[in-house]
Amino acid sequence: MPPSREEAAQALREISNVQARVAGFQDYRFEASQLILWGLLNIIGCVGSALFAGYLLPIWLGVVVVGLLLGVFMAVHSAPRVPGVIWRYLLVILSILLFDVILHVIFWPVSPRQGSMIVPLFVATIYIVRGAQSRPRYIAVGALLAVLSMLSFLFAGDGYWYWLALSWGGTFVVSGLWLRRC
Amino acid sequence: MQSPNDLIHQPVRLKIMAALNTLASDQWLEFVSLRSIVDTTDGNLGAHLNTLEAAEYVRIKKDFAGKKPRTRVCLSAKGRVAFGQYVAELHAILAPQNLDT
Repeated sequence: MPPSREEAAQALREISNVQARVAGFQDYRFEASQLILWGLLNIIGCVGSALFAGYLLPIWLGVVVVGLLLGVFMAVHSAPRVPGVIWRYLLVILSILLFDVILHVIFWPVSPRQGSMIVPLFVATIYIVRGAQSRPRYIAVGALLAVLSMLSFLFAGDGYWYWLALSWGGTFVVSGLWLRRC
Repeated sequence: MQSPNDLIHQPVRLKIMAALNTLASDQWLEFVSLRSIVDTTDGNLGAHLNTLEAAEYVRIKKDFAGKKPRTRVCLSAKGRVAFGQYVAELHAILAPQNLDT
């Protein structure tokens, strides 16, 4: 006996729900790898900034270049069937960098400590917005990043870069491991 | 009207088929990931996968990732066709010309 119209509609709704869950699952998996990558690079960048304070620009340029190369490689291999994944990935990362550069220009002179807050707080906001729209776990990632980064900015003394390494890079790595387990 | 596939219409198997159908034909999904997506127990998922495998709707591969045993699942070509037909039949039930039946 064929299902009723209500049962057919319910089955189609269930299919749609599962498809959305799979998309979310794949999105978390993709994001997890990127978070771990950029988390580790940010830790290296922050520790490098603490040890070689006179070379902030080359240190962070190196971090960005290595991150872009590895990030694109990982994006292509983790989502080979997504058309235009390279260009979309580059657009996201370069938009964040452009935002950072523009704020530096507008508010110049900006101290290294102030400048180091731009990217983590901007990225935290992006995650909270993404979380509110579709993937709730991103709200926790963004909120944790924003709170810990601000605490480092406000209360860390001479060891500021080390605290930022933990609050920024550490949050990324831990969040990546968390998303990977979902 | 033709009855939709009873094998797929069971709620857990419907979720399994819907999840696997979103993946490309050569893409495998790990058992633990599928369990999380379908939101059921190991035993229940295993039993329904066996039913679907017996119907040749899914393929199951057991191997090792390093030293850890791993079970992966993939939708077969026959399963993909069956699922497509099943969805088409559901849409047919909801089609305007069938609303009075």
